[in-house]
Amino acid sequence: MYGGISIIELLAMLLGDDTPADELVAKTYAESGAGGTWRAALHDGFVDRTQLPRAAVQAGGGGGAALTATAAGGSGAQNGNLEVTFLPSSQTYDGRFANNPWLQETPDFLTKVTWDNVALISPDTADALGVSSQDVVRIKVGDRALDIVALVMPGQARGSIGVILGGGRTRAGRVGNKQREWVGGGFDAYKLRTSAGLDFVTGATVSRTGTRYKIATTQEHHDIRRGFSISATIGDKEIQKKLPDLVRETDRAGFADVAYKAEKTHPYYHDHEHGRGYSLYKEQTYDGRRWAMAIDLGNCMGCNACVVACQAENNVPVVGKREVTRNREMSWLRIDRYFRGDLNDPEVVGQPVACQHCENAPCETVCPVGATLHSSEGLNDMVYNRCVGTRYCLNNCPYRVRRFNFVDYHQEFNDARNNVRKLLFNPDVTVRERGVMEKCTYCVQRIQAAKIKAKNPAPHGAGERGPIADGTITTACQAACPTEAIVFGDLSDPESRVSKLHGDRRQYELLGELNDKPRTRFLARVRNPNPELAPAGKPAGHH
Amino acid sequence: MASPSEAAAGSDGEAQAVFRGITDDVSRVALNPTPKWWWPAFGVSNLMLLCLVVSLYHLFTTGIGVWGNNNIQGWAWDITNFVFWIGIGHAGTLISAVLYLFRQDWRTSINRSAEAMTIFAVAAAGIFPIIHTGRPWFAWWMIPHPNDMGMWPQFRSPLMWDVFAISTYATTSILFWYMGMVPDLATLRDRAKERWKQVGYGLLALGWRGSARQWHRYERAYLILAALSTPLVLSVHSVVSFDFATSQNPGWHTTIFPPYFVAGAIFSGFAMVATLLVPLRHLCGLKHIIKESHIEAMCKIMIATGLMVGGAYGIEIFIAWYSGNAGEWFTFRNRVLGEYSWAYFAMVSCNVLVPQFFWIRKCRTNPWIVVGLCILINVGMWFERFVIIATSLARQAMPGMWGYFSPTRWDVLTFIGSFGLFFTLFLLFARFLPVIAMAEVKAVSPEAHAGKDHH
Repeated sequence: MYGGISIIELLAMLLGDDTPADELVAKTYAESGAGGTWRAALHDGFVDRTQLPRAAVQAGGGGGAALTATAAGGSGAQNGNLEVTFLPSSQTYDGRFANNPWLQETPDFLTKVTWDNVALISPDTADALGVSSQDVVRIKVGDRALDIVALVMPGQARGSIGVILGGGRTRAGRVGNKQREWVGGGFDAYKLRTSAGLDFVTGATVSRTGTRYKIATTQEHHDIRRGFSISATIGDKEIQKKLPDLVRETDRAGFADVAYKAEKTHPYYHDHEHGRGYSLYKEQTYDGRRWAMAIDLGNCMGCNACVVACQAENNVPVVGKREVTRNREMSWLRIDRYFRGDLNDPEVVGQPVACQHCENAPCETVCPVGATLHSSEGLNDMVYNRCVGTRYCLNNCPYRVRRFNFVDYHQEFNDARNNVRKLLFNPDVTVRERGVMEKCTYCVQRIQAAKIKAKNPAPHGAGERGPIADGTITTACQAACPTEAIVFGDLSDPESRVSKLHGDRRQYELLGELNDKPRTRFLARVRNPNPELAPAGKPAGHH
Repeated sequence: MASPSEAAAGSDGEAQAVFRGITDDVSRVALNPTPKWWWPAFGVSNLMLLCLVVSLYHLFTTGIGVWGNNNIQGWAWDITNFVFWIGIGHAGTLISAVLYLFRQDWRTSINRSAEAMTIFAVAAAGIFPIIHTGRPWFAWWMIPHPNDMGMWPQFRSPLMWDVFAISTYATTSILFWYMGMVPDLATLRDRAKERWKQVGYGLLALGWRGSARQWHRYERAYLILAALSTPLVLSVHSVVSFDFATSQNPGWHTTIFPPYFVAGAIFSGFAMVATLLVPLRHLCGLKHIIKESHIEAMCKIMIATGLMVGGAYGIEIFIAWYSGNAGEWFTFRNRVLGEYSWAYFAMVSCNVLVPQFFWIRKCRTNPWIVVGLCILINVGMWFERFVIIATSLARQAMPGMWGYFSPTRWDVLTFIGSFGLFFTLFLLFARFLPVIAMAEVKAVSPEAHAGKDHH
């Protein structure tokens, strides 16, 4: 595209061979004796009969218990004898993906930090060291020192500093290089890592440097907060009260009760006793298909695959660190992460949240120009062309899933001659201009493609206006989910998987008390922790 | 007592002198050479107006992102400023229409400038709903208009109702103000020495000759407009409050909003009128027309409306608790005790404690104390809107999307710029138009009734 040459071409040229890369690959393939042609293999996406032999693996000895004990209790190490563990970054791994802005802006599973690598310190240890989040600390091990920003992280082992690798690169590229504070790029943690201690080192001293460094998190962090002590804790306490309502869970005993219904466990609001409310407006009725989603929290492990898949599918822009610090990240799908219990040894719960496609959508009634409307199949559609950008829909969305184009986030790609945009954008999805609202569409472009295919005659389509078989349409997040926690389908088909899940006794509506009638339903998680792994002094179940 | 005819004859001469004095004093402001204080004041206002021009240029070319608004708080300073200015624009109609219908004669000394202030405040307010949209070049879509696509606005949206409420209010206020000014413009036309002023005021005076028939029609029209405007005093800010009340956000979704907003609007409107008139009467030498008793009357209204606003704050919190709605109760606890508590206490101290000083006579009669307190009240009323908008949105139902709004320099510049627009317009008004309704002041001055036994 830019007239460059690939690595294999360079190697070949050094050997005096000017053959283009694709021919080189085809040639190598032919010589490998894998059978068939390179083009056929490329088309299929894999080469048949080349799988690795199945390995026989057995669970190891008693190492797990010892590790658990350390994690729970931690070492009471004093400053000067702290442990430093080196952790791969969930975004850039060891730094090799540092130039990939999608990954840089994907919030870490637990810290929700973007654009930087940090040093994780447990709340107790941070108190003892007098360190708080966004302090730049100097970590000294022997004669080596590293200045890195600290993040107080619930669940981090006491006396152990978790230094995330992968930042502070100087030749990663335009995105990945270490930049100014407002652009991010992180800190070079390899300054501390030697071959003597690849995974961890001990005897570390941590001191504050006195400087502060802004961390861009996509979720309010319990330690990054303002005001006097009541202000700081009032929100945390409320989250603990709301949690059993937002993320519903039960344990094995609770689930064994045949009368268990996740809908009925409603501790935060108590008006569920009064039955469902009535809408002020005439409610829409649906004759045909009714698209819906089910998210099984029991399967979700918060791995972010759905988040990145959605970004790739729907041309969701990367906005950069400064915009993230202003709460303007654009991801249509986010994973809310909450801590429960003792912050030094918390349980973590996660919940993927995107547009719930409410049947009584609060966003729709407040738009002055009717730019967000309901489709006959129950989708909450966004008409970008009609949107003037009052942002009232965003304010009135209790799930806060709407994303506004505060500036022209695609500015660099506006030039039609820019070849990157041909590769970057999904041609089936509108690229939104500045000043318009956007949000999850349930991958409406995939739904439409399936409908068109079903209506068109054979050989390209099914040939008749028949039903779209369950499973024909997968949303991007669903396709990427490794645990199949997300299921999408048609509620008008009683046999579809989503219909079955909507009828499950574990299903519940998020914020159901608002009578928004969301089309996305969650399935409560059933916890069944191994009592032997449960930390001492803490019951396995918590209800 | 002398015979009626004698008294009338004697007092007529005095009355004529008093009337002429009023006319002289008021028209002098508009017709004399520009006073020294005016140019610096106008210069500063123009500089502030320039802030608006520059920040709007930056806003239009870059996007809403130049402000601090975010995906948690879609509205922040933009709508705060809008409601702030609309509120200030309320005193004008109240003074012109409601006090007129209730025959509160003291209003005549302040009604003209209060109406002017209303219009300029509505102008300052009116820019915000347009510029706060992401694509302001399409803001006209909010106005119903026939078009080839058959597209109409969405009438369920309170923003749509806002368009009608504010445009109606602006139209009526301008008509009321201008029509009331016609006789006085004719006076200026007759007294002007320079040709361009004679022509200018002559055009604006619409051929007013002061005949009995003209006066009769004028009085009728004024009464009709007053009657039409009176409901607007209640409706405009009620509709503005619907922007919040009809949403489903805790902190916004309350039935108390319409009366609470109206009381607050009148409260802030009077505070602004007093803030402007005290320097104006001093600088223009109008102390004998805008009397201390008039300022005192405004202070008393501020005590009353301040108490209503304070009561509303209390009731809001009580209902949040009493309703048993956990989300509502959290929003209010968070408002008072959370990260934004500084804003809440700024609001309560300025709006509830400050007006209590008006119980003290000295605070009502010393105009400069009045100005100080009124400025604080307006600060408090700005914070009231900020507290309602920004703190409620900061922590809604999903803790995963909680956040804290920080303004940018462009938020500040836009707000300063809106003051620039307001002050520039007001200074132009104070320089070139009759700042006091001469005809009305004369009609209610004691001399007009001297010896008239039928009153």
